[in-house]
Amino acid sequence: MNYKNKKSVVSKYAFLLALSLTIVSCNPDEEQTVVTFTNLVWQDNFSTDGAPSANSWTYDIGDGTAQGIPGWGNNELQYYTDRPENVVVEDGMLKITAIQEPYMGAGYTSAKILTKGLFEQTYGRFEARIKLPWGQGLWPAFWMLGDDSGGSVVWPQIGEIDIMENRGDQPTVTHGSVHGPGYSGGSAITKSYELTDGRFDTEFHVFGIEWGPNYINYYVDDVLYNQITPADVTGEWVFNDNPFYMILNVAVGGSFSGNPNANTVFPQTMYVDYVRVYSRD
Amino acid sequence: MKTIKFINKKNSLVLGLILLLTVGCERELSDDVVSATFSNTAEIFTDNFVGLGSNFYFPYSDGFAKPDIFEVDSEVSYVGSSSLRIDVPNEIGDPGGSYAGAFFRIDGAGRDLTEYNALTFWVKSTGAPFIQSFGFGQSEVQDFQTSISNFQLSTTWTKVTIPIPDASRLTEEKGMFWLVALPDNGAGYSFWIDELKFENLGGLGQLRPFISNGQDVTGIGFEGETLSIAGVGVTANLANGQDVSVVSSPNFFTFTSSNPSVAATNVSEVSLVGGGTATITAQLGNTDAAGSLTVSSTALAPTPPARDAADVISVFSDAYTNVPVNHFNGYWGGSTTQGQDDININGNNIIKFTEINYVGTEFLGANTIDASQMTHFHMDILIETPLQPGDFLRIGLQDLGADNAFGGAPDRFGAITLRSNTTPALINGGWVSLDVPFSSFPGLSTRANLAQIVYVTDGTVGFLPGSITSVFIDNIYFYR
Repeated sequence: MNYKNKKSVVSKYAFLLALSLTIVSCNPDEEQTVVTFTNLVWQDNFSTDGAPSANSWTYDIGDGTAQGIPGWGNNELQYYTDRPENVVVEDGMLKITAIQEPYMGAGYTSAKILTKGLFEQTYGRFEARIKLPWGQGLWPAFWMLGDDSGGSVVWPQIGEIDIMENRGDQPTVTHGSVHGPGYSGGSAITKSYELTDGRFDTEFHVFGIEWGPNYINYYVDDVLYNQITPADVTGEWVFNDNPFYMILNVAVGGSFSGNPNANTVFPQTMYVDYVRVYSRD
Repeated sequence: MKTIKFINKKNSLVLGLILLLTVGCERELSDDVVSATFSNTAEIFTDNFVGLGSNFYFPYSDGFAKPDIFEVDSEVSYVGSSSLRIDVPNEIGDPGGSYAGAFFRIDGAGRDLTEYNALTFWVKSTGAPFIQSFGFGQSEVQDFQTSISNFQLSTTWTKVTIPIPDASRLTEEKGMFWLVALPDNGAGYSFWIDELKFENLGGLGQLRPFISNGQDVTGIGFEGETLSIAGVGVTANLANGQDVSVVSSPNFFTFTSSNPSVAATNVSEVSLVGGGTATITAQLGNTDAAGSLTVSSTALAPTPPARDAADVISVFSDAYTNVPVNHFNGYWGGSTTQGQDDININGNNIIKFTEINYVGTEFLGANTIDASQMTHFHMDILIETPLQPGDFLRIGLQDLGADNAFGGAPDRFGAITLRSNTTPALINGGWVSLDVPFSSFPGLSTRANLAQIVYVTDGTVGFLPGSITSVFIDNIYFYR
């Protein structure tokens, strides 16, 4: 990581902070510290056209059958590919596009990219600036899974941190969650955040967490909207030692979002301006 | 901020002059005054009308709209102290009228609405009627008329959002609000409107413009005709994820023709300038609209030859003097047929029937026609619908007999049936000229009191053979 990049990032961020300061200065009683970690350790600004950098990202391919979880465990309808139609870097952005097309027995294609085995970290601040797809049945996500120690630990024991999940028919709502032993799937610990005068599918927003020992803070733009601690979960806290990797994907259909309907417009693209990770120190 | 405020007030008609004088002292503002020339006031009705001037209410003058339908109601409000109550009359029995229809427009200069993306208001009703239209953009002109249709009210306050297709066009809009509310199964009702205003909603997005209701439609037009493109509007997505569609004036759109020598476009206007086929598509701003119109541009029907007045009795033509006709479409019971003598291409009138199963043109009572001295019947027909096997067009003439009344003395009826294999043959997309001797109408033994021309296609009746649903007709006359 060269210093110049880091500096420009920090100065951009300083502007954001200044903005938030201006806003909260009107309401001194509600002043809050959104983020505290500022040591940038990993980033992808998606500035090189083509496939996502192989140094940063790998792929999940298929419909989950090969992994033993057809529909990726959620009755999802898409087949993930690494084709440029489904995942490409251009215009300074990562674009993950869900397409309605018959492909390998599925009715939709899309993409899912991961930093698994390439970048994993315990604690820190993980954020991405994203413009979401929209429409009934679209399920975009920016999330993290804990390292599975070569397959010896399985979900939900590995832990899952969902920084952003969205139902495409709720264009103003994002969900932040954790899954772990005793609180996974429909029992995940989750909170939603709703924009009061904006949408996630027509403009970019920053989705992030700041994660330290015994806490995970969730924020959107300059609003800290949730903190999850061991006291909030109904099982073992599995977020204090394991390194986690990041995932970006657009699922179609399934148990979280419901399936697309006649009004759903395809193709749908999730635009990611950047992904940045800061260490806790 | 200060500058904007100044411009607002400057253009507010009520306070205009006083404030102009007052703030005239604030010298630093004068540099910025140029750009915004009209008021950008958002509110139309809060606790009363806002900035509409004095003469702002215009009930429709069609003879059916009740003139006095609204009241500022201080008993009911969503916010503040009062609301705008609309009283829809019963369909029958109210001497004032049979429905509520009116527009509210600014008595004075229009507003600059370019910073908003929707007209919104809260509404509740005494029941759950469907309102035919709520909209904006209607005043003495309807350049940017936009509305939602068939909106169902309820007895609880509900917010209505009417997206603006492209607010950059609304730099000087006077038409603030209009509505058409019909009785609910014949019964009147009331509803209350509050916080009627333009807003810039961050939760409104994903505007999807359309023409031809988003379909790829084909049709026939006539050389010289200025096309009116139907089914134009946008669908937008609200913050709650629900779609809402409005129909709007084509003036928001820019149209493009695949063949300018057939259909010439000038921004929102499409004119047929030559024969042939062209496909019309549209853009709203930089966004392509769904749907298209492929139009076959056709010549007008042949002009009838000059004849002595004694040699012709004309029912419908622009070449001869026409006799009085009660109506070209009697909207008989069971008839699905719409339209009549609606088309006028540079002075050339044409009848168009759509959704035709059967329809009758009538000249009754004193208007019955004595064609006993005539020998032939003439009519020009153009079938717009693609022809299917079994399709026919039956044209009948009804004579009432010597008593000039239905029943009594023998009524006589004769008809000819045209198909794709008759002479002349029905064709699709081109004019067919009929010159038929009365002897070809079997059964029509008298013709001194002709009262009806009847057309039958069975086009909209699923279990009957006809599938012709759209027909143009011109130059109907009897001659010798």
